[in-house]
Amino acid sequence: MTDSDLADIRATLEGDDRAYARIVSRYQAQVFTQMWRFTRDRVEQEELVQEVFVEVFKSLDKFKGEAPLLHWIRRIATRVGYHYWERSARERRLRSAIRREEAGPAGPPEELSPSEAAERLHDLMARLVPRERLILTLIYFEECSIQEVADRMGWSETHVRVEAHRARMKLKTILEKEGLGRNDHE
Amino acid sequence: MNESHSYLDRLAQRARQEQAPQGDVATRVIGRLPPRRSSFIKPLLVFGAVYAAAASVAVVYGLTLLGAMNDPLVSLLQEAVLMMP
Repeated sequence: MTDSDLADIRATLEGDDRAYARIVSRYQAQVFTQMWRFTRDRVEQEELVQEVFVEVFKSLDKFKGEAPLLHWIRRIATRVGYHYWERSARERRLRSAIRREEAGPAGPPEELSPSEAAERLHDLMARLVPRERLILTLIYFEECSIQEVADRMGWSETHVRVEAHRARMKLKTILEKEGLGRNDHE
Repeated sequence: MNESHSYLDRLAQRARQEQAPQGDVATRVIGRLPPRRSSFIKPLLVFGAVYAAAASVAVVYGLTLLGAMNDPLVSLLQEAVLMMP
């Protein structure tokens, strides 16, 4: 943890809101990027970022400083995103289905722009249940290992491994149904 | 399985290059923070609770005593009545 983090945490706990504003400004870019994995809607993304920092504030007195502050913020952000998915799972699946119909057939990933690729991956994973989706989001978007996913969510590694395998099998079925990933490099 | 894995890996690799939209939420976050209890509020709350508990015991005891009390004039009048011829 940096000295400025430590000083700002202490000042925040003593009631200095400007110190907390400095913490938010320091880490909001990473949280904006992370929450973009959970929603492709800019308004919702911003709402989630705010929710993350409010949650961080509420539990700041429990932060022990053993790991960097950003790791701790990321962990809270993952939980906020996961709960957001749980709250709105059905609605999102409907919206995702509509977007899929509008999107048309997909080419090889290399021919897609990064945004198109992210959109497609997001839509594919929206068809999974929130728990499976979270695991694959952390693995594919954030390049987390099984151990890191387990650590971030407080789940066992075995559980994460089993869920990840099941989720990949589901995605494989979806991809085969849609003819994706088979002829894309022809 | 390998083809779909490979497709997903390549898709994810491409997706990770995306620049997520950014913003500044510092002011709005500060506006949404829950009110804090300052450090001297807690001892005051404890003191208030103890004080209220002691006061309620005193009230109960006082009401009991009040019920058992007689007007001092009553006993005087009783004695006066007895002394009358």
